[in-house]
Amino acid sequence: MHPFDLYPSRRDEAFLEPEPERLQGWDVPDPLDLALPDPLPALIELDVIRGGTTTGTVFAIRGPAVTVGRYTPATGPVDIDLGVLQEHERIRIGLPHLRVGRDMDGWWIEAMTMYYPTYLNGESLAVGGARLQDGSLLVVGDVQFRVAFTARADRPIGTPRPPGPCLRLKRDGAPSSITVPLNRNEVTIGRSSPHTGAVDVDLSALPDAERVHVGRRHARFWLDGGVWRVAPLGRSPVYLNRGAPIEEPVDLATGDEVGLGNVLFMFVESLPSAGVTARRAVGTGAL
Amino acid sequence: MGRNDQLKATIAAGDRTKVLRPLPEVLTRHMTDDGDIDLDGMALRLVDEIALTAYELPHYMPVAAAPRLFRVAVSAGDEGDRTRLLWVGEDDGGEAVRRVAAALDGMDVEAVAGALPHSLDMFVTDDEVVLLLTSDHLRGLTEFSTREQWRCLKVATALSSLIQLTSALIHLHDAGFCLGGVLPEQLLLSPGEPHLIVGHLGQLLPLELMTRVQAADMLRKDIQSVGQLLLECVTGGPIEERVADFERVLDDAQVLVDSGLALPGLAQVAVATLTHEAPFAYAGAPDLLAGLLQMRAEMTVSLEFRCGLASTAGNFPMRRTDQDSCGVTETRVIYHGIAQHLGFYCVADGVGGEDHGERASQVAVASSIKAFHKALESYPFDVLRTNVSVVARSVVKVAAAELAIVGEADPDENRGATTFTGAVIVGDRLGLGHVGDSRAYLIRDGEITSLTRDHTLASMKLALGEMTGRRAHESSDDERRISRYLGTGNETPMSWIDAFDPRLFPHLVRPRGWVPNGQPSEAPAGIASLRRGHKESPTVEQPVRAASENITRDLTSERPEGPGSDWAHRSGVHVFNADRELESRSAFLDLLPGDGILLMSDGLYGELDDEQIGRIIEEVQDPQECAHRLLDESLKGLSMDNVTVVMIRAHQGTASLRV
Repeated sequence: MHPFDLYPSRRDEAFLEPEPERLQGWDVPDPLDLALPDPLPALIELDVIRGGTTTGTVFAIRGPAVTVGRYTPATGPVDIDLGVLQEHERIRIGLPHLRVGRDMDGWWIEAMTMYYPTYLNGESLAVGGARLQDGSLLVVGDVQFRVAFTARADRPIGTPRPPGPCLRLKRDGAPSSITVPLNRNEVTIGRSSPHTGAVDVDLSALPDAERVHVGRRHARFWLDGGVWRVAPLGRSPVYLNRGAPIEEPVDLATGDEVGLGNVLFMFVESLPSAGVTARRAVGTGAL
Repeated sequence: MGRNDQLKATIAAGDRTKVLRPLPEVLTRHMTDDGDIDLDGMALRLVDEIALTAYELPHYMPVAAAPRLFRVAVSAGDEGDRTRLLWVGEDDGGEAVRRVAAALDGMDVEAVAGALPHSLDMFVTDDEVVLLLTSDHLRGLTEFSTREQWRCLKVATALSSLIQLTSALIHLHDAGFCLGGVLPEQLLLSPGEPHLIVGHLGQLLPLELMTRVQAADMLRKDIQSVGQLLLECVTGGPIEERVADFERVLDDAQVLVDSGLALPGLAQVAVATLTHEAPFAYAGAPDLLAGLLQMRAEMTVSLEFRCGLASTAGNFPMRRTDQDSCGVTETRVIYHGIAQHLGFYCVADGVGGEDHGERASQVAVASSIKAFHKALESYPFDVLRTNVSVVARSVVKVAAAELAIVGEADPDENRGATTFTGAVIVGDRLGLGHVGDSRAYLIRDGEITSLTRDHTLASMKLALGEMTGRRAHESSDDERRISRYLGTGNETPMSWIDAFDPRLFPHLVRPRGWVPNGQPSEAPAGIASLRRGHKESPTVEQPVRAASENITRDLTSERPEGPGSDWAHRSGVHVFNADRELESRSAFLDLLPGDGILLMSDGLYGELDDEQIGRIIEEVQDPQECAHRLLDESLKGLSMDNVTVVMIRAHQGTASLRV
């Protein structure tokens, strides 16, 4: 076994930090419970194999359609960010690298990059996709994974939709129960600090792997004639539905995915399955 | 030949038996202005004094006509619980000598022939307390102390002497004698040695001849005089007017800080010996001894660290700026009554055009030092010690966050990045936080070990097997590009910050259960307080606490619980493996006396190979000199890069008042 194989990947570090903000000189209130672990169970677990054995470093898939790869500001968000791996492991991981999804017949997998190798049980995925089976050996770039289906894999469940308007935090491809309420006409979002000033919604309490992608003054959400709109506040990228970073204000509709860096939120209007008219009515009524 | 010359001649001849012992008070009185002793006027008095001492105070030392030397050694300790008395002198000595021996009941008594005992010396060495009954008074002529000398004595020396004096007092008191107080003038000090010789204990008073009140008073005087001696030495001046201060300590602890006496042990001794509360504080000499030992413990760190820093822009003509930065901050705390070292040392190597790199490395160093201070304020010593590695990485993380803030606030002026290698020392533990290609070396027993791995393309290729170890050394500039850094663009995630990994250095790591110097090993308390959000969220509090108990147990047990442990399930998404946290928390290095730690930017190891570095470190012991030497050596080549060095050395601790 190579000595470097001994280095743990540190995806779990959020749990260990003694609160960097506290060491910086201010406290981080967490009224939204952003630091809480996600209650949604994993559907599929990708267990990293190093030196021939599984390491217990697990990337969980919690939603029925996820992208796997690396996040960079230029290429946009991915659901499962493998960038936390060691750099010799992540050097040949695409951005994004592959897609995993579920249809009527079960789980499928598809490569999204031509440049880097993707193998499932020794078969290259460069052309077309394949069905994903429990216990498969998945090779992504220089990393090997053991694919393990959990008991939930066949019947994914969601959490109940919260009353809107709000932003639901998406983790590992599934909207979680953590919500950011949009309870004013205008909400700035980012990470408060004495240097850059306070924002309305402080995401500092997020686990480190997610927090680092959030700018201090990241985005502004506001209600404009009954429609919620979003625009970036600085150079930190804001993505809408996995597109290019937006520069101008954009209208939002229920189900839209807003990415602040690699932190993904699902926008929810007040009423479920609301059309445009309903949205307007609720927008003004709620305020 | 006058008497003076005669005396001097006798002294020179070393014939000590014929010279009479001058009493220290007499000596002091007869000191002339230039410090010389007028022996002429003294000799006559000496005879009188001796006569008085020997014959007119029957309870002191009624001596036989023949001169004899009696040496009574009370050796404490090793042979069971019984104290052993070594009696050197003829067994047919005076009645009082026997009484002393009898009173120090059950001790072995030896006797050898010697001179007339006309005074008693308490002669204390490191491992034994010696009561010296002797006429060897020449010591008094050559090694004496005035009050001023006592005041100028190093506190540690004085304290160690007083501890020995107090041990002797305990024996004396047990034997039924007391001194009725000791004055600085009575102390005969051997310069340069931690030995204290108490001269002229003419007042060795048997307690049995006194009333109970008198006896208590005399014992109290002994204890009080030790406190006075200590305070005189510490404050360097007369203590009479300071007694009021110590009285106030009882009401207001701030007085301690105001009077510059930050040691709790010192304040306790002062209050318990000098103030009006004293009779209620110390019941006897053993209590005083405990107080003094406590104070010494507070003054003594088990491991001391000294460090040296040096940085240069290098001598490459096209490079004129030093983009490296380094920083050091050190302090001491008293934890569980023992002084402990706390230190943070770091090296940052800035990259980026113009002065962006310089600014980045400066911001990183400044903010990390601030963060370390914040950590000292926020967490107690045991938490810091248990989590030394977590602290080190978090401090680096704060530097990363600060850089990101700077970059976001003014993106055009701050486009730099920096490597960062920080070492946190808590007590005897070292934790590392490391990003980039600066390095931390450990030099132990002449062997160099790199505690960090470079985050470079070359090291990546090495890991992928595309490069052999030999080629990694002669890698190209391109391959030496760093793959991790603290940047002003994106905030560096925690997962990029490496810690010291004990599994890679099995030969450096002590077996589990090893307890350094009997200090508390693993402190179970406070781990949970390091966790985020657990105060605000009662729903997760229970599992988290359970988890921390789990971990604490694991640290002492042989086999840590695996990934399938109960805790891994309970704590949810972001912890996949209980083992991980265990590793991260035990990722520290126990330092030993003599260890050297070298933090350096790539400029140094680019110029000098490990062998050269090791040789210089072996040669130059002083850390500051060593840092300069390393720099000088690297400048002998055409050093293309900035060179920055932080050299830290661990020493066996000594007592000092620096708190």
